[in-house]
Amino acid sequence: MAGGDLAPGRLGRAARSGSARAGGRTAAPAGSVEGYLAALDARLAAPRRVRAAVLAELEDGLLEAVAVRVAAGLAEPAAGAAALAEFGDPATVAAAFQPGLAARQARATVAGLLRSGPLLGLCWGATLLASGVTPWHRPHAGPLTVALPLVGLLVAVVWLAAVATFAATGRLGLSLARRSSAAGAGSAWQGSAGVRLAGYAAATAGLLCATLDLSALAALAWVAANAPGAVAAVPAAVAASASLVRLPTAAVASRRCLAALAPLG
Amino acid sequence: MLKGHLDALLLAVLEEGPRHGYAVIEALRSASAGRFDLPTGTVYPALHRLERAGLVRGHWSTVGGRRRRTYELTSAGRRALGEERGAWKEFATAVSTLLGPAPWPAAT
Repeated sequence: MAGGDLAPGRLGRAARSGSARAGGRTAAPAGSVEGYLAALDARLAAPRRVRAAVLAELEDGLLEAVAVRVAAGLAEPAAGAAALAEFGDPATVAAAFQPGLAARQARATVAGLLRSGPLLGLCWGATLLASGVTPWHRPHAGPLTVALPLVGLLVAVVWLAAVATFAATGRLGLSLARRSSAAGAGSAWQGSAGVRLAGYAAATAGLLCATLDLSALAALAWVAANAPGAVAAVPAAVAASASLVRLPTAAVASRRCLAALAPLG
Repeated sequence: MLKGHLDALLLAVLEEGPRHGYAVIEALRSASAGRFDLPTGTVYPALHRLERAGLVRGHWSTVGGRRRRTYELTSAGRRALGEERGAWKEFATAVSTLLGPAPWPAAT
């Protein structure tokens, strides 16, 4: 898997998420539960905040499971071991979580692109208009005649990918997965085929948006270098700033989608 | 045995009232008379999936210094549960009919 905050094996994370709460721990073999959560944390491919929320919820359940056994008379180490054994080994539990995490990442990515896309379209459109480029009068006809329809095509593909992502992971996709699982369709009980579709669609959408940003910035740089007076400075600066922010965001989101799919095999 | 119908069972447990993950697991265990043999950790992603499907709703609270996530059934969840009950009833009726009644023990 790629680096950054998705890198597995950084055990410090779970300890931090566990210690982020103020006191109040019930008597529990904190070492083994925290060790288990760390092992799980290392296997989950999701952003830090998402992992922390998952681990917080599981920690609550695990500590309660231990406390119940201790109250029933078991010694702490035995209670901890029993609770963890019943919970399932980290690999199994992580594998159960991963499709949902991948679906969530795909949806978040696409939602972000759908919010930023129209905004950026407006900024760059305003730049073109302010620079005297309208559908009726195109001073630099050549490249724009090719570029603008291409942009339109890529935007259409991004929208298609967004629809595919939401359809595959939304209520319709989930209810289909439930029905197929009730009918006994093997490992489809998590709807992982739909999750893969969503993940790749979202990753593609992110990559296309990053490409659009890069292309717009490159075009602006070329025009600024060769015909500086041709472009309206203020709208161009606004649009360029927006693309400079969106470009790495979209690229990172795309990579996260792929990273979340990787453990699904 | 329970794996394919886990979602329906979770909805049924939550019908009785809001519960957090561990309480749901305990309810499943006691209701199934100990036959619940899935790793309990896999119940959580199932609950999350139900939440994404809009069938349950989760919220955070703080209990004993820990963050706890509690789930409750939504109206869509109640409807889905009703459908699952109907489907199960049809299935059970069909199988009972096909298998036929158990033979009575012969009198001596």
